[in-house]
Amino acid sequence: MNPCHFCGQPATIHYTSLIGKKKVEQHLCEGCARAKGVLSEGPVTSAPLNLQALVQMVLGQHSAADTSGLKCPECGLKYAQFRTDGRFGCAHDYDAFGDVLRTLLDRIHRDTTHHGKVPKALAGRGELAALRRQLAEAVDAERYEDAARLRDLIRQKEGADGPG
Amino acid sequence: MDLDSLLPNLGEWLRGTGPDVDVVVSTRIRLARNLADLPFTTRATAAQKGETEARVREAVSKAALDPKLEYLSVAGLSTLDRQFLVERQLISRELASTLDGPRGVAFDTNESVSVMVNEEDHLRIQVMRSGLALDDAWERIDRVDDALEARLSYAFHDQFGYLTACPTNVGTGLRASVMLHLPALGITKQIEKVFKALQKINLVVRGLYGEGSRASGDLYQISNQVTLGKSEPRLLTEIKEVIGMILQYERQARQVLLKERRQAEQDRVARAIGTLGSATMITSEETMELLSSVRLGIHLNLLDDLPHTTVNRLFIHSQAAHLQKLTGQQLDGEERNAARARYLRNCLRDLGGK
Repeated sequence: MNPCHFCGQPATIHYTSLIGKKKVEQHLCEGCARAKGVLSEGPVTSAPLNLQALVQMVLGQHSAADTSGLKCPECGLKYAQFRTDGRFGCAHDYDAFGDVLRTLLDRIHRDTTHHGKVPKALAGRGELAALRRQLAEAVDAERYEDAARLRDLIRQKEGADGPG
Repeated sequence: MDLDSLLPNLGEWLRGTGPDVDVVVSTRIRLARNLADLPFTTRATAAQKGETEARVREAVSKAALDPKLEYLSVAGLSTLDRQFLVERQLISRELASTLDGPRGVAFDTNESVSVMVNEEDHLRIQVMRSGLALDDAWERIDRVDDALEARLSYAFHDQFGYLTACPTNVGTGLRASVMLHLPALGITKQIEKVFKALQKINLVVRGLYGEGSRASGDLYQISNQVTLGKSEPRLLTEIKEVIGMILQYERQARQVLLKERRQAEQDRVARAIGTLGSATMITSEETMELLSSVRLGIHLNLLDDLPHTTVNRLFIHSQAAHLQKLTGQQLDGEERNAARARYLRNCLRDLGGK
């Protein structure tokens, strides 16, 4: 179960927004959703979500993401330091800086996903990753038949790759 | 390796043959690669850089590479030898002087493949080809990359591709650069217009010695800016399309020069040869500019007794480190300009007397 983005309690409201090509996933508990005006008074099941409040929250968070505490657990490089030097410290920074990094890469390259060569040793993994990306795209575009086909293909390949 | 043995050679990028060599001097592709489990160079300790160097050296010596590469530690080289390698485009200025600790370069005797170690990225693989040869260069560098990858574990991310120290290189890690000689666009004052158009389509223009260096002798490097989101063949196709257009513009401008001001061009070339053959002091900038006129003169058939490889030889030999190696002396300022003039005078006299 995903924790609420604001208070960490189990979330009951989940939504996905697309900003440009970027997918933002959010999870909220009922209390915080009400506090932020996303959910109005009344029982959760019947109350419509306040879309305007939702959009504002996502956009605000998107542009003013809090990066002050962002730090790579492996090499210790802080995001702020990275922004000053423009250089990463190690390969793990790419995961540690996650969402803000995606925004930055999109600004530099107008894209966030590699479409080129994959090391031979990882070729299978690369294929799986590509299928997962296609699945995400199919879901986003509401092409559910494609999505189902891709999901089955991924399961099949995951099974073929051994345990896990 | 005895670096002085390279001195008489022109190296692959100045070989002077290859497709479209009337405008395209050389093609270069580089791939940025990093080892998965060591910090990037800027955050690595000397010991970690030593570890990177040892692993890459081992991979280079054992990998099935054709041609074979020989490794040279840059940290152990004199300033002169480092400068010499920069002038031959085998290492960057950064690897030569601003970086420290264990670092080096592996290259073949034809100087067509080089692998810099502990530059901004752990590995900077480079392939050079004379003339316009992007596909050929890609095919070669892809093979070198495969051979090294079989022995090294690269930092690769399912979403972001090959991970690099700078976010501007991530993804393919590929930078393709085509070095163009564009004197006619310069003379006819169209060059700025061409470059403004290039910037709009995400291609970068640089001078001869890479980032931050200024263009001299009408030589420009055009390269891709984006490295993420497009496949390697796609990136190369985009550059090829643009280079094709620039080639066309430059050739058209050359024809206009021939048609409208042949006499003036003839004069410019004759004066350039005259100055190169009689000056007693000459700077490297002036040499580059004059050689540019001579190169254009050769391709416009305004000069018929001078092969264009001669221009390449004079071009590389008149640079500071090469000159010092040729004369066997350490040369400063004025001495260097006098030695350069003497070298050029002698070469042109030998050619004229044949």
